[in-house]
Amino acid sequence: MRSMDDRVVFLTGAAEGLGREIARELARAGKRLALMDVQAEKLRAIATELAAVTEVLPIEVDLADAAATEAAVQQALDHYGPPRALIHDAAVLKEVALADVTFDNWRREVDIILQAAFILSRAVWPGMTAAGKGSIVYVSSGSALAGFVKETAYTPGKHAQEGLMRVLAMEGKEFNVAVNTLTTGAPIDTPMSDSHYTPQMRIGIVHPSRLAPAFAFLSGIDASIATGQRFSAFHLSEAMRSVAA
Amino acid sequence: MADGAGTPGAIVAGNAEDVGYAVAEELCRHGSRVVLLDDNSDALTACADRITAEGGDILPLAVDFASAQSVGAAAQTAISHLGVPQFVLHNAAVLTERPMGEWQFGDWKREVDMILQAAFVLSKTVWPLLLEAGTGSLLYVSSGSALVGFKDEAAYAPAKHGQEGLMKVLALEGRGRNIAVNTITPGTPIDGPLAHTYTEAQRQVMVKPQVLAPAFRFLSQIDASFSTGNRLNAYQLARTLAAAVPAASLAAGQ
Repeated sequence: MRSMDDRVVFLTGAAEGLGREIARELARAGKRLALMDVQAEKLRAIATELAAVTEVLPIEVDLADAAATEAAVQQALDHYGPPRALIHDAAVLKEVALADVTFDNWRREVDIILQAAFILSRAVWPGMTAAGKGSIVYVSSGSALAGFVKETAYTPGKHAQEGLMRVLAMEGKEFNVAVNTLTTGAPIDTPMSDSHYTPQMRIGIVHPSRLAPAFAFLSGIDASIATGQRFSAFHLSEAMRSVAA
Repeated sequence: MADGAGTPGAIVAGNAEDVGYAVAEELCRHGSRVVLLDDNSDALTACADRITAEGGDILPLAVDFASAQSVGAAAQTAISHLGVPQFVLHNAAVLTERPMGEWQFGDWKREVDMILQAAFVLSKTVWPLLLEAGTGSLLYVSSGSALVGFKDEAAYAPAKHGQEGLMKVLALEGRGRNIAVNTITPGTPIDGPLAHTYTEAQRQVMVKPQVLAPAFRFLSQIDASFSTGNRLNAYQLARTLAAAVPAASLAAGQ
């Protein structure tokens, strides 16, 4: 097995919104990136932008497709060796009541959130545990703890992802692999929120770049720092900013 | 449509070897018509034969809980047999303890789908009928693994967490039509097929599933006005019901 380069980060959902800001922050921090997303054109755009400052491997992949997801992460592993960090940000949120949601759409949304989290984590697990360090981060949501009307796929998916974090945090501890979730902690101005937020939810909305420092920080930790935790990206980022000031 | 109009109908999904069997038997003894789904054909047949011999009205259906098509078809058959079901209990699950590095994707997906996908398919299939009826009780069997993580449960714990989330959403969506959606944790170790995973301390306090069955029967006839969106405890409810019966008998002068 190739040795781990501490600069390597695998990131999903990098084409737009929060994921794109995370990618920019990681690039600024000198990380070598594998960026995965299904939106090919936007992925190419961010990859081109960041290639000016760091090494970027863009991988177009439909994370609802198990075989494609396995192939994508293997491509990243073949290129970089085991990553220091895996950040799973990709998700879809379609608000549809149980009476109206189709099985295929429900399945797709749950798979992008939970199935992809498992496949990606499973793929990087041997490298991280062998290296005795690593950081896995799942982007979380209030929907991981509470229920919301019409979130027939998103809420179960995010709940399940939180459960996967809790299990892997316990298993990763002896190998010094950190597994945590990172919830936004503040409303963010992204395409997902455009279609989801009510006016009430938009109060205090911030640019997603405000949350990015937390992801860069967590991409470099291991279990000796923190594991099994549910962090708030906004509060963590603001705290880091206050220390840097 | 079905015979026995007005007789409460129940769909019990898993486990013909312990809780599912005990609940089906309890429901039948108290006048319900039951459709029992299970993937263990031998246990299913044995269970149905015993209950039928006691005079119970039970239809056994073999099903692959990891297959959405199989679960959906079985649910449709149950609806054709029962009419609008008053009660749907999802108890099907497998718990395989395995370190993350040893999971194959197919095995992981199967175990997650038996719990979470099956809960979704069962609920989605009966939902239009419950909305129209303006009543009903959906109940998913839960676990400590729905709230916290346990080592080697990379399939079971996420699936149980996901099921808890599904319950929360459907409870909100069903409230306006008085549909109860809850989860239920056994509340005590059960002397059944999972007993091999227990510690010695758990083995000492485990109970037969028949002890818990009255709690499920009670919850089979509730609606949202009683409880919805909650995580209930089968052992506590069953013990309370058992203690309440003698008091009621005393009050009746018996």
